[in-house]
Amino acid sequence: MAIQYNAILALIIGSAVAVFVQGVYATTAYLGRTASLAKFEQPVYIDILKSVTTVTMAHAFVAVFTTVTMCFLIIEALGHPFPLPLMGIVWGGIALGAAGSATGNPFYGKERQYQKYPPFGAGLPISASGDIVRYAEAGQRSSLDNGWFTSKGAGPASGICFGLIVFFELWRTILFEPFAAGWGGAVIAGAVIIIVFMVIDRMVESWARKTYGPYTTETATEEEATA
Amino acid sequence: MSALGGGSAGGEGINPAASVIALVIVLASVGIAYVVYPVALIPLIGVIIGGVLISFGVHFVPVGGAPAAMGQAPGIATGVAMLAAGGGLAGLFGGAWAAEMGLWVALGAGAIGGGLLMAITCLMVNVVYVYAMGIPPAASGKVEKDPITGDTYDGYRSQGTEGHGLPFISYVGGVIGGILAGLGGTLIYLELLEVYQQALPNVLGMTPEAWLRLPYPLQVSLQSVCSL
Repeated sequence: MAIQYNAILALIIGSAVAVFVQGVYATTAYLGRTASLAKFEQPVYIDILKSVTTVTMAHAFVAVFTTVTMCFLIIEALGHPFPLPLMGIVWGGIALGAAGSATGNPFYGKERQYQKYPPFGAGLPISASGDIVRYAEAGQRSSLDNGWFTSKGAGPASGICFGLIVFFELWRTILFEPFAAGWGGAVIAGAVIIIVFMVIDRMVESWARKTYGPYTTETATEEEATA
Repeated sequence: MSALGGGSAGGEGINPAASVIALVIVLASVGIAYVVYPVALIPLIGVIIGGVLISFGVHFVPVGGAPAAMGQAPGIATGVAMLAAGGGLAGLFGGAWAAEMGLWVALGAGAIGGGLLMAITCLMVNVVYVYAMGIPPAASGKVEKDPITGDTYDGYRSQGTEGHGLPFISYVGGVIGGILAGLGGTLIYLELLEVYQQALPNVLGMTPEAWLRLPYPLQVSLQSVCSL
């Protein structure tokens, strides 16, 4: 904007730079984790480097471009006082990081290598924490599976989470700010939205408790006997 | 909880010597500010209060970290710094927008903004646990039943874990933590904004009249950059 470039072009160039940073991070994260935990003798799958890294970079372009475009629109169309780099830090860097990390991290905890003991859905016993899968199905069901799994599960979940945050944060301000000298939009509408989400969360929790039910006493004693 | 069986030792409580030293440092910095630049005294106290609020709010956020990701412990599977910064900055976004409506409205907007981020994040975390990971009902290993809803946890907890999922009491705690972090972040931002509003024209070597001739968005942008 400052040097009179086309804004759309600038957004694309910036996102393209971010793609290469993401590629470096993805490679070093995968190799670094395997190398630093060499005592577990986990293999490095070249498949992952060759296929998942490029897909991750493509996803990064989509994510960065949409986030930066959103920040640009918040400033230009809605008139927020922050400059674009700051807005990018607030939304893209920190808020998207918090939402994506909170909803996405459960998926790395459910990677194949941690799936040795419990049946699907149960928590991993603490005593079995370090005993991960090392040799089973080498190459067949590696973390490569997570590409499919995260694109179907974690990606949409993180996206919906971040989208809801952005939407309601803007919605309450723009629609209700004129009421009650600012208190209407800033505080009252926001508090009502928080309470609504609290009720929905309670319904999800009650549904899970009712549907899955408690562990029966037989399985509990059986697991205690084997442990 | 350590996987090596170390057990949770618990905190050592408040260290009196360290607390006194910290208090002296705080008082000394306030005194220095009062002598050197008296205008900044009230903002400095505001920044200190905001910092205390953020640190206090961090303790309410139900962070489980990697054990939560593996279904070993209840809570949100991420780092506390990430969530606290997210809550604080999302609050700041709303607070900065409402800054022209007055201090109290801006503080309220910031607090609710932080709470809103935590409310939506905690809901989606629970949705992921229940519908995607298939982790059964939220349960905690630390207490017998939920203090708010009265749900018992014992039969719902997987064997050998500290609990899993995100119980309702953790949800409420997360929202309170987000509100405190948003409140503290917005307070710090507004107080620093006030200082820079007065100091920035001098720093840039401009007269107040020249400063006022700048376009308003540029003024606000410069102040925001410095405040952050």
